[in-house]
Amino acid sequence: MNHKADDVMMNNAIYIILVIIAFTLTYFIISSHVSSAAVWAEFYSKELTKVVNLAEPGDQITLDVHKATQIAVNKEVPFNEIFSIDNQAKKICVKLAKGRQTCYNFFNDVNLTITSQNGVDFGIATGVNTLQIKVEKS
Amino acid sequence: MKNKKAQLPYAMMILVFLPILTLIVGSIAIGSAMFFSDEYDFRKIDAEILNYKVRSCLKDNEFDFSAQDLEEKIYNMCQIKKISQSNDFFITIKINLEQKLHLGVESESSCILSDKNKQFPVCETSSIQKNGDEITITTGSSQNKKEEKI
Repeated sequence: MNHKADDVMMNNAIYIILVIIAFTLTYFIISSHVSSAAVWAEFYSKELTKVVNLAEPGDQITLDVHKATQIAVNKEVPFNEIFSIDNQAKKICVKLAKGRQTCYNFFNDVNLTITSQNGVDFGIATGVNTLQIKVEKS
Repeated sequence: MKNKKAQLPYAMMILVFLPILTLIVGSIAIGSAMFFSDEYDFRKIDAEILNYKVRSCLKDNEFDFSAQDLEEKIYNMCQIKKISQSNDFFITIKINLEQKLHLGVESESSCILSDKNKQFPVCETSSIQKNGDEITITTGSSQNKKEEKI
């Protein structure tokens, strides 16, 4: 029996297993950051503010918020609590984790109303959940 | 008889390999944590949109820049919330390089520090020609996200 070949194979197998473990660990570390609630709450609050700042009274804004709803389900946040608008302070807040929300101010002097029932509209036909916001004169 | 002595250096390589692997994984973990924990800068976009709003408004409407109620008219006609006491945004309007209006707490002079510190505003400047005058609009945003506990 070729013991030498067996030993070389065994040694290489250990190295390969270690590399696979390391790369799996790296993948999970990065994906945990990418799908973190804090990152997405910041993203949605800022992108929503951008759209609102460019909106005119009478506009109806429809946004794809599918990722937000997926995170909300995982974090047990009710859909009607994900997005909130404070028209007095001109502030949009996004809550994707229990106990904290990320807010961002807009400067467009308009009143916003979330018209989606239950906080978001479930895109049963399209497979994409959306948020509807009505823009009115302040 | 098996030569165990000859295999020892090969097995010892794992002592070099493991720290290198740990270093690589650790660096990626620290790097991604630093990247994702840092807020993505939205001040420039805010400043650009504000500038666009004011510029379009000044183009489309007639303003008396010597009027007492200019500030109020800018707010109403340009559809901008009151930012006079705001630390987040500022607007400066100059006619032929003479300042006619300044709204907000921050000023143009602090724009230069925006790269060094996120508390300072990122600015956007544009000019338009109207009635033979050059109107220069400078806007800035120093707004950062606000984390609230509820």
